[in-house]
Amino acid sequence: MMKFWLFLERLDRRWIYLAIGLSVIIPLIFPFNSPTTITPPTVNLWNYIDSLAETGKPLMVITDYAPSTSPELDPMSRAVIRHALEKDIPIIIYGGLYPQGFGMSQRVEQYVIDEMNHKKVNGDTIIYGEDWVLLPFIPGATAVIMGMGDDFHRTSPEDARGNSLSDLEVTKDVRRLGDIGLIVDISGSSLPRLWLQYATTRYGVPVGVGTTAVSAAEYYAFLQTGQFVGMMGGMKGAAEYEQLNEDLIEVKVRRVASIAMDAQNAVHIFIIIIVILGNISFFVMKKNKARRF
Amino acid sequence: MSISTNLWVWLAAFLTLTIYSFLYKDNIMYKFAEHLFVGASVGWSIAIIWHLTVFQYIIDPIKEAVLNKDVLGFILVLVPTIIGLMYFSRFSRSKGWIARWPIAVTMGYYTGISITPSIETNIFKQVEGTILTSFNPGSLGSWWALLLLVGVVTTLFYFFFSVKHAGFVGRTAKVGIWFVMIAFGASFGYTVMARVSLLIGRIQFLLHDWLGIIK
Amino acid sequence: MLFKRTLPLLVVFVLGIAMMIQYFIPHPISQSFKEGADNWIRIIGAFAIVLGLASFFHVHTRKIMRKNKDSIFSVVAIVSLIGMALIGILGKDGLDNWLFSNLYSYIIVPLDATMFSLLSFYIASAAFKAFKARNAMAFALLVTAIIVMLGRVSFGSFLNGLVEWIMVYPNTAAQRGILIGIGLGIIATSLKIILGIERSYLGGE
Repeated sequence: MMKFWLFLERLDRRWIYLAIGLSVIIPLIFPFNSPTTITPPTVNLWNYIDSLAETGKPLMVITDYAPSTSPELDPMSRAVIRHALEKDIPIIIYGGLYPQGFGMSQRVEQYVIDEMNHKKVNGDTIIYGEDWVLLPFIPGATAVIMGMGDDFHRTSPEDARGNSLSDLEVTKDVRRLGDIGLIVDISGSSLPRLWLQYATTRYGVPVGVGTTAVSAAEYYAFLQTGQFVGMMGGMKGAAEYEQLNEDLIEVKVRRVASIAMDAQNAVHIFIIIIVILGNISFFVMKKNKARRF
Repeated sequence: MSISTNLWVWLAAFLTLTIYSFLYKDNIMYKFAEHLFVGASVGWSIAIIWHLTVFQYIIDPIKEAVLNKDVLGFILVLVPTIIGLMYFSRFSRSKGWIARWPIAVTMGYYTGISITPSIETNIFKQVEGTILTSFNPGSLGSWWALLLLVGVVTTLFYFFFSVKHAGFVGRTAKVGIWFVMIAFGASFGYTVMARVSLLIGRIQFLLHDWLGIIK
Repeated sequence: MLFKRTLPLLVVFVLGIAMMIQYFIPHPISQSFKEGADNWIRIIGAFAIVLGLASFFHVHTRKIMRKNKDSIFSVVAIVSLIGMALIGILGKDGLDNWLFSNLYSYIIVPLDATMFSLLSFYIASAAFKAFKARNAMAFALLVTAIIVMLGRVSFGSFLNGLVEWIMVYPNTAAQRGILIGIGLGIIATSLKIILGIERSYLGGE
């Protein structure tokens, strides 16, 4: 038995890498369709966005992330945009405060638009300018939020395609940030706190958040105070939102995050097992050393 | 199974596998991909800034001001442009101090603008969320709210280093560290999910977009 | 000394106080001052990004000059930078240029995402090698991590309620304590900068 614990102690880390790789690949090839349990923060966000349909106010979806976190955050952006478009809620898609986010917003926009206009019968299902608008990158970080808070059109006079915001149906009445129904900041950094600090605290615009699981634990403090109206935390949060879209508004599309949760199951179990084995090995070796001296 | 016929997808798959080759051992192909990534992403940012910043906020407003003979408008764009250009003095040893001017303007703006909202967002609202709960001994929620209050106060004690952690302060800080450990454990659990998500994303690309093995 | 230190410090002081005060004054003059300041910061900020690029060139050209075995990779970095920038700037349709979009989607996105996904392997390996219950507190950390990991996937859905409780109460309590500490730190540092007590951002004297 001692040999086994010694073997574990000296195991080359590349075997662990291989096992992790297989724990992801196998469930993706042979999915077992694990059920998704919905948590309150995601339901709250979904309900808030859904209620915007009655107000007619636009939703601003911000893709404040880089390609590095896109596997986790892209499904959130897609699910939220999809929800809003299905409910005829006008959307302003904005790449956020750093240049990389602009690339992400273009990709997400293209994906959802292709998906929705794919089912066209007589022309496009959704139309640019009437259903959604894409904003360009604007430098200045905090200054951008402050600028939008006072004069939206002055801060971003044109959309990403060079049209004047005053000429587009979605944005013509958005004179300041306060004219927006909800901001959903999807980000893997601390930027949602910046939106909270300026957009909510200063201009009173509600903010919801979609974040990587790394930041989710921290944001619970803002959920309890009601500062964030809701949250999608990590891939699980995205899977929950996809589930809500399917259950409540019958969006039947490829659920990227939900498919991924099978692999999450396998890897989490694998990591729990190796942590337990690592600890048993640690104590056995410690006991053995103590016995020798 | 339908393997992609798109050459771009093949290129992306090749680059993905090149990066993963690092897991076995550092190698030339990995280094190539790493430098390609750094260069290409900076180049991409330059193009974005050129189109969406330099033109929109500097060149176009200056052109407009000149055409309309708007002297004030011209000065209002020219002055920050000159201040911004001062950053480049960083590359000179003797004139490097000039870069302090744009830094000073930026620091003044951001520090001044952040104080009030930071107090309101990170302190007032957080304190409010901790203490503004009516206590009802019959309700379990009230006891959890009390636990929250104890957790916040003891954590603050733990991170308060201006007083020696001994006696009452030491005992309180010790309670605080238990809350901190539980929070870090929760963060670790979530971090595993975050990291694994990134890997799943890439494997999904390889199996779905490239090899067409999965739906 | 006046231009090198005193005036920049005065600029920070005046601008810092002005931006702080204008928060409380909804007068049109205060508003237009703030809007002007926002615009200036956007323009100045653009140059800060360009400065980063200049620094990139500086580092890599120096590496090329040294002519060691890794110089070739600096050439790769510079060539890919120039190539990408030129395609984006000079290409037909500007940022909607097909080549520019494809280079972004099929080179930058996969490389960036894959590079970061390596962390999943490292976190698993680190969990195995270093995540040990050496004392009671480390044990608490480990147990919480396992409960959260299990409770956030369907295999451990029976733990969902417990995980939500951990996140909403003990986790929120500690995160909030840290948050309030950071908030106080930001305020103290900002005041020190405005009052000229903290000057390290100006670089050497």
